[in-house]
Amino acid sequence: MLIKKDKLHIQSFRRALPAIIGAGFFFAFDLWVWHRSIIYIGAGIATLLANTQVFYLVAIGWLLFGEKPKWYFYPAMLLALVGLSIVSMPFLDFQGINNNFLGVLFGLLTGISYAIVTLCMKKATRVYQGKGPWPIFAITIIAAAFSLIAAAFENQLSMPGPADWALMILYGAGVHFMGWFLITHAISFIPLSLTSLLLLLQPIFATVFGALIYAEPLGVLQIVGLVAALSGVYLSSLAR
Amino acid sequence: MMINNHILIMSLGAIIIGFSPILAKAVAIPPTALVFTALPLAALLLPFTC
Repeated sequence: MLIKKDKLHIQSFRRALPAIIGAGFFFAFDLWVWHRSIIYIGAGIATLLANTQVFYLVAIGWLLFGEKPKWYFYPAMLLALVGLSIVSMPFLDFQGINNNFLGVLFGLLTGISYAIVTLCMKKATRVYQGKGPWPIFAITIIAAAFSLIAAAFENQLSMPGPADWALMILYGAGVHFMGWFLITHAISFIPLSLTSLLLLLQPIFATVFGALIYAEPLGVLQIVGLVAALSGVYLSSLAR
Repeated sequence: MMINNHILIMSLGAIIIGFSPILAKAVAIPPTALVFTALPLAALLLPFTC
């Protein structure tokens, strides 16, 4: 269907290839660290830490492209940092490197790699002159290839059981495809400020689902931290 | 009215994506293998998003 409807524009695809490969590599790395962060510190906090990508995007935009953020970026970042510190505090016992510490570290690395993926993707779609989702298609396949290499190195290529296959299909085709399908369909009709706000439903619901399904910690202090962090992330996304 | 519908659609999308770490945690297979097998599935369905 993709091949028939929108033929690949080979020349511009070649020019976009370095950015596509970069995005694919960092997408694989992003998922590698994020999944470990989920296991170590829980779905909610891992997803919240991944959302710090907005700070790195602003920093990269400022340092590399001279895009100075609006004045309220700094107080917003401070607010988010305070919130993130409150949320992450139970996991930081500062007694050496343990799983909790690694979980927080991997969560922050998820945000950094997510920011690099966003930049590479932006570059790839700007350079590619053809129609159709070829760059994103290539990025996804390249990320899968890098994940295969990592899985082979980690000796993780065992075949899952039927229940895992069902969950995996639900994860790849159900959750990721359906979720992004709905978001990409609605995104062009909604103002940017509202889009940034609505996308924060992702870490909020990950936290709520995590608390309900896995009994992940969610006390009053953590809710306060979550609200502060998400407010900071939202304001920062508007300050770009 | 149209914007309200799109707000609902986007909210639903964000909530569904919010469920992804829950599923990832539920699967017993190692994370990297999960990513390797789930990504091509998602890629195959990508053309339908356009």
